[in-house]
Amino acid sequence: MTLPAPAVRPSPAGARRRWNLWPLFYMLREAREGTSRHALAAVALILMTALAVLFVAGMAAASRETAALAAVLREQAKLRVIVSEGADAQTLAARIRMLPGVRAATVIDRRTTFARMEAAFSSQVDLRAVFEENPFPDSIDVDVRDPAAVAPLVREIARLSGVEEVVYGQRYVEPLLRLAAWLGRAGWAAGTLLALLALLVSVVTWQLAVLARGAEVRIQSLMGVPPARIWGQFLLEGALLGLAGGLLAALAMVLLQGALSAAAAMLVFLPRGTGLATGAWVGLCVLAGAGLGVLGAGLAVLRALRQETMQA
Amino acid sequence: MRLERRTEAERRMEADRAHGGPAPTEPALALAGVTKAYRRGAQPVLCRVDLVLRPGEWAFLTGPSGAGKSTVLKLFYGAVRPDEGTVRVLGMDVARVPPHRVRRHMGLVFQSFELLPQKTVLENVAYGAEILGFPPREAAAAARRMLAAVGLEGLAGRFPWELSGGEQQRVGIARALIHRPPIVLADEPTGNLDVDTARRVFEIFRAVHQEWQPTMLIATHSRDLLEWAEARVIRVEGGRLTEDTAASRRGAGKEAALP
Repeated sequence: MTLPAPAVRPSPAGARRRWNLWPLFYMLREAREGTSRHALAAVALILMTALAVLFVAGMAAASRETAALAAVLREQAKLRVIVSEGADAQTLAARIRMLPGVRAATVIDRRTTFARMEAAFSSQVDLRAVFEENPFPDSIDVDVRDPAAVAPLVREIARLSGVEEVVYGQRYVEPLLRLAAWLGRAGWAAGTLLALLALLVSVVTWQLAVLARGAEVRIQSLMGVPPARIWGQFLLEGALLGLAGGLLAALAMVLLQGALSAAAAMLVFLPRGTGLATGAWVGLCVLAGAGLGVLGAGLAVLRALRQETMQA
Repeated sequence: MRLERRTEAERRMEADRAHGGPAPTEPALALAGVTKAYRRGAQPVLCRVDLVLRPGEWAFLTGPSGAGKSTVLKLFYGAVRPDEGTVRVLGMDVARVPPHRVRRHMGLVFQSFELLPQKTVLENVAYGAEILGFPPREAAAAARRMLAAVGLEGLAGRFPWELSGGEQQRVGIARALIHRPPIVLADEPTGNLDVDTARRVFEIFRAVHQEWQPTMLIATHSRDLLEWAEARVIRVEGGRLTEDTAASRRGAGKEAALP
């Protein structure tokens, strides 16, 4: 029997090492073959990752959108001070103008208010016939310099004598801000929970994949392939599947944005938000998916590899 | 410090290999005062064992089941660590280097053939070269040469489940030795084979040894093969080496002796 010529030629001591990219090529080939051999597990991983990423990203986007809406509303907020019966509106307006944060205070006397209302309802009802006396009070419109300081200003104006009531949009903005904060917290909590669930499913699926490919891992380990490279091929596969999940989530986000934009177009009174599926969102979805895939594969393979290395 | 030692050991080994193997004065495989128990407080599988195999030496490791033959091999390829004593492979202290650095210079053959069922015979053999970083063409060419050497060139396109046990083992050997390692360890390589097939497998080992003179340590039960092969025989029993024919057999490293 004649044996072949040496397959491995020893390099002289001290020879310069050259980059060998063939292992990467084989890794990608094994990833493709491994995925096609366990197609259903791969699909489950991709879908689970996509769901987790989509949920987290969706909740984060909703929270951001709500907060943006609240901010817009807050910026448009004006105060209207209703003057008590018998109080002097001009004196009160002068005192309000002196308060910090007030840009302007304009008195709207009761006659002007009545005239405006009369004009507004002219086609429906004759207000002069309905009311014997002008029922509207004098009022003061207050422009605020800093929309964020509306709430303390309202409290201060309400303490002034001659003020019947302070009406402002902030009472609608504050719940919206609370909703945005809640959405943010709930989104992160639920998203984290879902991400953990996806990670668990990913780890279990990867453990099964490693088990199914135990022979390859064992052969590689016995032939002296460094554990980092064996680990690396599963990480690469995890990253690729996670990436696919992230892309799927990003695609769903884009579609969702289209649907929401169409709905928002019907609610013309709402100010425009920040947009759901910008390039940054898509990038984040893809990165999050890849990260989830790498983490799942890494955790699953770490233990299996440690056992395989020592118990080969 | 540890890194320095590794680097030095590897550099020395590469220099050695460039000249056809370790320096003749340095053992290829060595156990010094090795004790190993799998559980704390349990009877040791090996007890203060000393063993030396010179470069190019061919030896059989024999003894009853559970005597510690596989443990000796596992110690060499770093699958288990000794409780006491030192294990050296090509001058490297196995406890001080990661297992893959030691295994890179070994061809490991097992009773279970460790073939991949989804790959053809050629792909199985080429896989050994691929995972060591060979380009695809070189890997396939080396695999074809190895298959021809073990007499399976006509079965390259078959799958492992289409082969007999002996053929499967020859594929396993072809893959394990595709990188022409300086050390060959085999753990009951003919345990699943009949006597005639086993002899054919041993013919391959003999040819390998004649071709590039690797240090070969083969654990086996088969007394027939021991007689036939005329190599050094080391008997393990009760955790100790009870017999070593090094002094009376032909071949390199005759001077290696029992402690």
